[in-house]
Amino acid sequence: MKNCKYLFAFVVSLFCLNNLVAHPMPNSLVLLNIYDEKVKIELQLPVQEFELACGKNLQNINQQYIKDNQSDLVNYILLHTKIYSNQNDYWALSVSNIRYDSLQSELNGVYKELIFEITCLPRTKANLRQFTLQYDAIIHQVVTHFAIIKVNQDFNNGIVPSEPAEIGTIQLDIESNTVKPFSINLDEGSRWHGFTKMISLGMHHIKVGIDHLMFLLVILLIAPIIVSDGQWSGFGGIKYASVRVIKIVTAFTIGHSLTLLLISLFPIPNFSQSIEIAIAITILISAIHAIIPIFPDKETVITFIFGLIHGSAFASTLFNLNIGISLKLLTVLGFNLGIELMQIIFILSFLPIIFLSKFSIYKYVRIIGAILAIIASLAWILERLLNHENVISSFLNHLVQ
Amino acid sequence: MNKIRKTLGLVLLLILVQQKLAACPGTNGSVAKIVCLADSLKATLTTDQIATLELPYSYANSQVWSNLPVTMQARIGIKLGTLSASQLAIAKLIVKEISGTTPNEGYDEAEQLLLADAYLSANGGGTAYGNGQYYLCFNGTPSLLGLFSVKFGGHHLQVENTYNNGVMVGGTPHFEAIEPLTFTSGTNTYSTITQEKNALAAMFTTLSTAELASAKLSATFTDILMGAKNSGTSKDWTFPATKQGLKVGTLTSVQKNLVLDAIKTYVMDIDDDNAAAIIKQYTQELDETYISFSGNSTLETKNDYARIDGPGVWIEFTVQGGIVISGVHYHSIWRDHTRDYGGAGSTAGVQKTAVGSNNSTGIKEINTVKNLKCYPNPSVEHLNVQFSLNHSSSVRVTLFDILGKAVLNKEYQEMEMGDQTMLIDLSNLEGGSYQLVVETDKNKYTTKIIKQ
Repeated sequence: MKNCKYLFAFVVSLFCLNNLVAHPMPNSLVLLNIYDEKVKIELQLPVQEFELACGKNLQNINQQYIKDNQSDLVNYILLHTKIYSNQNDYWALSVSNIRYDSLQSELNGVYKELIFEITCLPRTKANLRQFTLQYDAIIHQVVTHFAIIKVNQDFNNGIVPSEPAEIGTIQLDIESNTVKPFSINLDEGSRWHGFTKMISLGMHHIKVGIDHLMFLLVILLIAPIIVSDGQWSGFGGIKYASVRVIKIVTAFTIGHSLTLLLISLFPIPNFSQSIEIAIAITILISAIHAIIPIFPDKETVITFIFGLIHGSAFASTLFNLNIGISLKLLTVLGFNLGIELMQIIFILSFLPIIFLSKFSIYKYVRIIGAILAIIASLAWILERLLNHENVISSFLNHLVQ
Repeated sequence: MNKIRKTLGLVLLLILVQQKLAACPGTNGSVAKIVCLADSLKATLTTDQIATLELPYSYANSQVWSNLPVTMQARIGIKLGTLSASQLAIAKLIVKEISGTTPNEGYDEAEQLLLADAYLSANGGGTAYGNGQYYLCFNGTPSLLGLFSVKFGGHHLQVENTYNNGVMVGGTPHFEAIEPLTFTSGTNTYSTITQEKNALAAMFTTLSTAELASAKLSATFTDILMGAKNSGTSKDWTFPATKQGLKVGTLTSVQKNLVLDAIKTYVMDIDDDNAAAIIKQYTQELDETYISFSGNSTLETKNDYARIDGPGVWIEFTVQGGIVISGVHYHSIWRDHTRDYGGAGSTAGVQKTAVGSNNSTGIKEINTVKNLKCYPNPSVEHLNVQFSLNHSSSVRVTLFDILGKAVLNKEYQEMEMGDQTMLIDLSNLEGGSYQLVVETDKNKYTTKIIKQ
């Protein structure tokens, strides 16, 4: 997930129908990552404004420039970033990484930023969630600049990088002409709290995952019916239907749980676009199968394989989680539990339709449902290939709002 | 034949409208005349249109304005582009009534700014721009003695005139900006706001090296300081406590007049009589006024900046990069230390006397907490509570349900002076209405929170 301010500027500029630079001045982002023994801050500073503040020409900034000027850059950041628990307990800050990033946008041109990672350790035993941030990088000179502060990650409070919590802004206090210290007070939270948050994250994720739900719907459409002469036929009986539903759901669950775990622990870069297209294809294939049986009696295996694909997409929510293995496992466990819970709710509410299969009207329900799913999946394939919404995909994406 | 008939009909209609309005009594810019014109306009509108045009007065409504295109920041009031020709004619008369008559200022300048937007629309800006994208709003019902403001604005323009007790009590914040610096419309070429830029730059040209050094600010400005709220925090009533720059009282009378000339290019934007009264006041206050700049005082390069800060007057001018068209463009604002929004939102409150007269300074309340903000509201999971303490104090934050039971209680023995923020977890609470109480050693603040 790219930084939110870029996304904001991009979305905002979508309102301007011609090629325009977005109006709002680029601001800095201060992302707080709260761990058990330290806080890690990620600063994202627009080069355009950073240039004005440090008085250097950064037109040709690149990774080499950073290497050559590392100590200057580190000194600048440490001069303008301080943390204390009380006036006598200033934390030990060290810059652990500096990198340069540029985002190409047809609307914005090139947006360049400098990213600093700062490790912050309290000197004495301090509450890691209650401290004061004395920060005025860029703002000390460019007094119209401001920084948005977000909690990017805090397991004990259930905050993950895909949904950071904005907690405020640092800017010039015009009346006093100073930049005031920014006090942070987060809830203590707890492991249990974090775990339950992961569960609700998982539940929410699949609740709004209209493509995942559509896949389940379509594949279950044919669960209660039998094949006869190469065509879908009538209700196969309560036992038959129940067994098939259970097998399919279990196969999907095992499949997506496996890849959710694996990919969360070992993320694959630049993966998400391919996975999103693959998911749309799983819907397409299942929808065709619902009209004409293309893999009769193999639904369990196919669903397992498709489940692997869906699970990889779930994992993208948990990317960028820079935490230890045990905590990551707890996250994945909670998230998966949430997905399963919502999945059960969804299937239970969907069951009445399946039992409609006893009646002859079901044939039309099945075929119409499958056709709608084919249209939806094609729209999504197109959208995800071109990286651009179309009328149908836009309608579908807005259904969950 | 039909075309001629149609045009004749329209002309006749406009003449009739003008005649009807010529019957509006009162001196130019007077509340009586404004009320009359407002009623004339409303007489031509449907009930729905009136409901869009005229809103119950609130300070919050006053604060709705922006430098941005209307597609990026919503405005209130009725959009000019939705009015018929005759309705538009009356709307324009209203804007004319509350604006000055000096060429390139007041109404003339407003018209030019609308033409500039049409130019932007045709030259890369698209439908986000255009002279139909401007809004007229009556914030409060215009009446002879009541409190109301007339708002007119959109991209790069905001006219904000407040009336109370039968007089104009505020003519600010008045925001104006221009892109491109020079443009053609029909057979005319315009350089709107170049008058302001020239007048401001002229203040500095005859200063000595020492004086220039005093006037120069070391900070860099990529925008005006006290601009629109947009998606950030409100800049209203945040005037610097200490004035920066060069004191005008130390200058020669020729140089002082240059400062006054610059101030006039802004004040003359509002109707002539009230403008004259304000200029008289600002002239009296000239010796206590400060001028300053950042970057170059010639105000031609990106990030150049100029400011006039007096006991009353506050003017900022900034040179920014081009947005639709390459090059630079200007943003500028005129505010008043006591008369912004007629005084609404300040500790003194809305004034009752006309602009330019003695302002009543209210008793400064001792507010421990400032800018108490809670978002998002309604909230689902986390509630962000932000405020500013003006001295270190113990703080207690309590959340009461509708039955008055405290469902959440946080105590801090000693919170430091300055900005504070806390993230409160609401996920375990039932949906509904709650009262958030922030208590310091001196005061108690309450606000309503909704949990969804």
